[in-house]
Amino acid sequence: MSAVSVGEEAAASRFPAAPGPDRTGPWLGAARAACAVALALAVGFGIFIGALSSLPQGRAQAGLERRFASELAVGAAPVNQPVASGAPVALLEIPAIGVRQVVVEGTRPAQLTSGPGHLPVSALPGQEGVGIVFGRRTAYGGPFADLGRLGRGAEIRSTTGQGTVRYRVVRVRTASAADGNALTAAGNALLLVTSDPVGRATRRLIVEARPVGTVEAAGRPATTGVTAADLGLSGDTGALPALLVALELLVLVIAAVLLVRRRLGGTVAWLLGLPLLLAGTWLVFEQAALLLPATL
Amino acid sequence: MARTRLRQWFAGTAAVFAVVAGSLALAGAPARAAERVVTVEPAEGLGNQVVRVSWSGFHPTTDDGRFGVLVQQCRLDPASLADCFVGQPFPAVEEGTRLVARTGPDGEGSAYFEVRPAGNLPALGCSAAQPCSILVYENDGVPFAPDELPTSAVTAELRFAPAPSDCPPVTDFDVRADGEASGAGPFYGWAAELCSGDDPLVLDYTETSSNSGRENFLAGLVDIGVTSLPADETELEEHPDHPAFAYAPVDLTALAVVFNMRDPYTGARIENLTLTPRLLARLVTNSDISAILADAEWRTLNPGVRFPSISVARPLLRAERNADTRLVTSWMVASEGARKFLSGDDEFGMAVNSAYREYTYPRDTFENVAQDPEYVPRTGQRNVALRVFYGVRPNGSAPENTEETGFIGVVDLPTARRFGLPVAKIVNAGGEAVSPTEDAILAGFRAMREVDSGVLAADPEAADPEAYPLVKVDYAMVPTEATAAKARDIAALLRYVAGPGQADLPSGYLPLPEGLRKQTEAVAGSLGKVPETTTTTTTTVPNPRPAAVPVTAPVPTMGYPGGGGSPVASGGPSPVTAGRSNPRPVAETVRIVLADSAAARLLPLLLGVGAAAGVGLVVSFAGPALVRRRRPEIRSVR
Repeated sequence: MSAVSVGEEAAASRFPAAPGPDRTGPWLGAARAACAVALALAVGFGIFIGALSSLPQGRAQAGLERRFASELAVGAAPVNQPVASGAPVALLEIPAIGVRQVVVEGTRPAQLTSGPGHLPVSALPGQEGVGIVFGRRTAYGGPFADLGRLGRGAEIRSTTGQGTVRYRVVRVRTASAADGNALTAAGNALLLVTSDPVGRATRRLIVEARPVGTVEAAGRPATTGVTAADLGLSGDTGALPALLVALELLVLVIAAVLLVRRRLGGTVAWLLGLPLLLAGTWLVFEQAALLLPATL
Repeated sequence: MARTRLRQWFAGTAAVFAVVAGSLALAGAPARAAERVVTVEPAEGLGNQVVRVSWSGFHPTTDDGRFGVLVQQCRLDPASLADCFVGQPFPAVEEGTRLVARTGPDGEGSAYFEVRPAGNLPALGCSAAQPCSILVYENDGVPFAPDELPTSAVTAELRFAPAPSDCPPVTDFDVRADGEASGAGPFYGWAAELCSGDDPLVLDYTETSSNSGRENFLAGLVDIGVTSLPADETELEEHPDHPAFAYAPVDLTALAVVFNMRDPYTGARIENLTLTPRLLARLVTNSDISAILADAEWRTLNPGVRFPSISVARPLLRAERNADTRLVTSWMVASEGARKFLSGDDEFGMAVNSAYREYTYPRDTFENVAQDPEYVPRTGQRNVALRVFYGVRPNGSAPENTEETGFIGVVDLPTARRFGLPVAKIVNAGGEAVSPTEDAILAGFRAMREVDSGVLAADPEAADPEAYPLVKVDYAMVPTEATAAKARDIAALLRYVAGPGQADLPSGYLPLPEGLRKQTEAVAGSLGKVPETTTTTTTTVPNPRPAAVPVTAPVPTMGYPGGGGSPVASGGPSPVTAGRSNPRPVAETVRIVLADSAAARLLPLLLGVGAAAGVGLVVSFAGPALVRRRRPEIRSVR
């Protein structure tokens, strides 16, 4: 809020009080404009997170599924580490909650925008050991939105380059962000992880599933470690510079639209400016979403 | 006018972006700061045992004790400290545990902490069905309400192994067993596994000692006696009408000399100590123990180790008659060095405590012959282990500083593992210092000799330099002429023990080698000519069983030539692989690091700014309108 008042003072000092026809002071007008823009951005961001972001996710999934299908067909699907970040590694199906998603490699916010992500240091789904898959609860289609509704015994199928392995849910639990053991399990298991509660993302919701029958042999393990940014509740602060650039771009677009409106009138300005405004806003939202918890 | 509007819009937009960029920068900055994390290892399949609790992201503890760390066991998701147990760990052993520890300058710290299931801490009732948690918080001076947790508190879940207390309540047991302490771990696990299902087998085990197990079985008080050594002539003669019985092997394990000492310079736990039979003899005979750190042999065997600054306390030993004591003292006096020491002819010139000069070993008990008030053997394996773990003297009542006083005790290997106690290397008859690794235990097992029909015992003189000398097999003494129902239950139990029961033993046990499994199955088959026992052998085993143990080395079966040397002692490196297929190490390395909740605050923050802006907008329009409407009213009043 202090930043707002600084902005207001700056606006007030640069635009000395001149009696406008609408009898509002210039600083009141500026404040009103500020509120309107902030409101529009906030509402827009909420809509983006809750609904619109599922569109690019769906598109990414379609592309991933085609790519993964062709990789499976020619036997090129990855079974060993390292796997390139963002590459498809498994097809995850949970009939009980209607989930059919291609799992990509990596659990950073950028990878989870296209689908559930496999934690690189864990076993691949279907392999011997503990495989860990993170997914979003709300944003970008919320593939793991209904994870909490899974009951004991629900079936989970994972298809990888080694074949299909069926799992049964044995436990659904939440763990605090500080529980260092939340992602451990003994023996062979698949852990599906998302955030809890919805929209707040302060804890983890973990579905623990055990294989039915045998699992596939373990592949070559990853040599990389794990950082907090890989574990689903962190944002990617690396997106901050890109977001600032996107914000500057949006400011320029708005300035341009306002100038055009003054010269050529409202209709022309909106006609020319609206697509640019939407594109700029979208860019800002996409970058801002990367700062939010990866499994939000 | 248009110019003014344009300027207003532009200023407003710029202000919003300044706010957004500013708040993002603010939110981004703390995202790099570490949040608190606590990790427990192990966190699964727990019983009454010691776990390593590690934390990070805490404030370093200052010299005056500020930001000291408190660790305690709580219910799952505790709402306040009332859900935790805050009694001091010792001697209030019935009250649960609480530990005070320190955080290092890097914000990380760790401590060994004793967790307790329902059986040892009924107030919390932790069990397989009721997970509990570890709570860690720092003493930061911030007050908190009694119905809240301290602001710095973080928790990690504890998942317990199934225990007999998870079984449905029963009025009577199908099979009652009593005996050897090292048999308790596996039997409790088997009892928990077998007590549910379509045809449950309800098993009761009382942890005492081999001597008690033999005594109670021969007296007909229990169905099964579990012992590490066979019944001797005297015991059999005392119970002339004892039931006819056979010995069935149930587990393979070892004994351990454990210790708890810290480096007085760094405070780090000492992990390596080597002892000989002679040094052990000096300890158990209470021969000037306070000077043992200066013993020439001790210093030769442990060069460069910085031992506690004052001395070593009297050893922690078991008081009751038991097989472990006999095995340890048998090994001790088999050594020439120890024999010479005990006879007053020590090669290092150390005199034995005069009270023990006429005292002979081996024995079933450790006795305070010298009437030393500090030399107090304690009853029960757990009591001995707890005192070593907490650093409490045999006659003491409070933990001491293990940088000043060292603690040494004798327990079995599973107990040492359970309490996370470092195990000393011991010098075997081959002259090598050996640790109880799987290979060393198997080498020691191959050197065992038959001491009674179908009973193996460690050979203290085994010459194999790789053999761990303090190995033992626990045997179930089972009645061969029982009622049909009892015979069927016992046969089913033995089949389970020889089969699936060996798959998931606690740490410190090895799966029975093939020869011993066959022996147990043979005993099961001979019991009362049972027609059909498929009922309980189909008990579900939840985890996929590891493949059968591929024992490729010749394993001694019953009937050695003369019981002297081992037929396979010269077999070279052991091709026997113990069959516990470990999950991939990666499965256990995915630990949460540096939790980061700054990102979680961002969305509420942005939406909050939006809501404030909405309110501001409404006020900016409604405010002037209200003011304008009110003015005429004021005039009219005037």
